[in-house]
Amino acid sequence: MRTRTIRPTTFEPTAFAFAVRAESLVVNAGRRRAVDGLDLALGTGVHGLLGPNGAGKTTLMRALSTVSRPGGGALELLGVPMSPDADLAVVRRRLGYLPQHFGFHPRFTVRELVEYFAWLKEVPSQRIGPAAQRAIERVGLADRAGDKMKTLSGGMVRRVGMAQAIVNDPDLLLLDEPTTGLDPEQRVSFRELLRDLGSDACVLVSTHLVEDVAASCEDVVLMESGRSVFAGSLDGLLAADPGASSGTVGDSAVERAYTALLRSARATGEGA
Amino acid sequence: MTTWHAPEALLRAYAAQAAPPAAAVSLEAHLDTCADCRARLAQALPAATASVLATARAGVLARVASEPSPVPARRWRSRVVRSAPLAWLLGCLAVLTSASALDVGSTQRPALVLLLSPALPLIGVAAAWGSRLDPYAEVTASTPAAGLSLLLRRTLTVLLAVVPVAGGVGLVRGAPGPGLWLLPCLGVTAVALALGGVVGLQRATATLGAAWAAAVVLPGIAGTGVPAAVTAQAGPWWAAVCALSLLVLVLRRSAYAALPR
Ligand SMILES: [Zn+2]
Repeated sequence: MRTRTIRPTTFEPTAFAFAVRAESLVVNAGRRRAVDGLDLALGTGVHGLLGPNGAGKTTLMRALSTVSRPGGGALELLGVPMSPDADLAVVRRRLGYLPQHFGFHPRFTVRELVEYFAWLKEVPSQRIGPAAQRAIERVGLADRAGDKMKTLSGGMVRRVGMAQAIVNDPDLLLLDEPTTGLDPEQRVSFRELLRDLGSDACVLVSTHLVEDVAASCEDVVLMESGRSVFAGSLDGLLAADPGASSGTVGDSAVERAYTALLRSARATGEGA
Repeated sequence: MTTWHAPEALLRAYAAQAAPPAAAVSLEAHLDTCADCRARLAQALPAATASVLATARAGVLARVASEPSPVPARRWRSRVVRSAPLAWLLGCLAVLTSASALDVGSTQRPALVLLLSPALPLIGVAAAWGSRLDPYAEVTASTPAAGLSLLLRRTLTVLLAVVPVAGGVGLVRGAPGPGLWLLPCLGVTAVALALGGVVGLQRATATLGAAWAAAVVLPGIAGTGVPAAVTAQAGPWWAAVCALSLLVLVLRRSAYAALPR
């Protein structure tokens, strides 16, 4: 049986229509314009961010997590415009972020690490212990909570990264390649967790695996060369491939539609 | 609000496992929401069923009480201090001890401890924000704790670690006391933080370290007298440098709100 979390904020009226709203967003990675005029609007639910390597997904995730500053255009997170003088702490308290590379101090235990991040996220001190315990349970690591990080497998480290991301019950959760290193069984329980989280938060999952998106996301943003070339429902993505309607809807159909869209985006790009 | 409550006859039939299935299902739905009827059902239970339930309840409670409760580990604060800077602290101690060993018997040139101490915090400060050596730099930058206050807190930790070590080594080996190197030490650190807001903390600390080596350490070793930067006359200048750097740092604090790149 699935349990649904009721938080104090669940009943508060939201003052914004979209958790993420970007208009002509530009983000630089070094000297490169990795995100180049992107438009985006994301509300509550699980959204997939698809695209080939180098499309600008990680750079976009870093800007949405407030880790790097936009180089141009407009960005609004949880109703707060990301102007140079914006109060970032207001947004950051309600943010969860799992970066592409999540390292660790080998001598930390799982619980120490998650509690440390709860503290950085300004979770009230009497709630740090219970919040960390719950996050660790949700990612299925309760039996390893007291173990040192260096004893964990790659998939487990990834799940600790997931636990720190959700320890403050974020309203905006950004996960960059979260399924890296997970075995098939872990992927299934991870998708269940995603659906649970997406019921009252905006979850953006960046991945290059089409199957991740097909299994757990309500809609898809497809990126290519720093721009969004498609944003809409999974059905809308399938409609982009004429062959998909006749076949069964599954990984391969999504994969074909994805390839077709990318090909046409590249053709347009070269023509322009 | 519910006005309907389970009739006594239905409760008795249900307790005796004799209620019709449809009635039992709707009664269960009502019991979920009504504490009064749950209490009445408990009264209606046959003695045998009631004793089984009581035994089960006692068993569950005993089991819960015997299991170790999740222990909140509060040790991470000390671990943060221990894990990263420990190696660096030992490094500082090694550098200063060998420097003071080299000082013995040499009266021609200023003490190496004096020449090196002001620049030692730079290595620790370099790791305080956005360092590639910090496995959490990226996530940390997305938390509300990130920013100037976290940077200053970590810098303070570095200074609180290095100053007593340098002072202690100086005391033991008879090198000049902190009176000569404490202000330069604070000044160099403050300049690193202010400059770091413009060019990035790693580049700033590397540049300053190189500049300190070229302008102070090398001339000192070469024996051209005590470098002006670590003399008593330089004290007021270093105080001014500290104040100016902190002013720049506060005015440009938004530079530390996000990672550079
Ligand atoms: Zn009732």
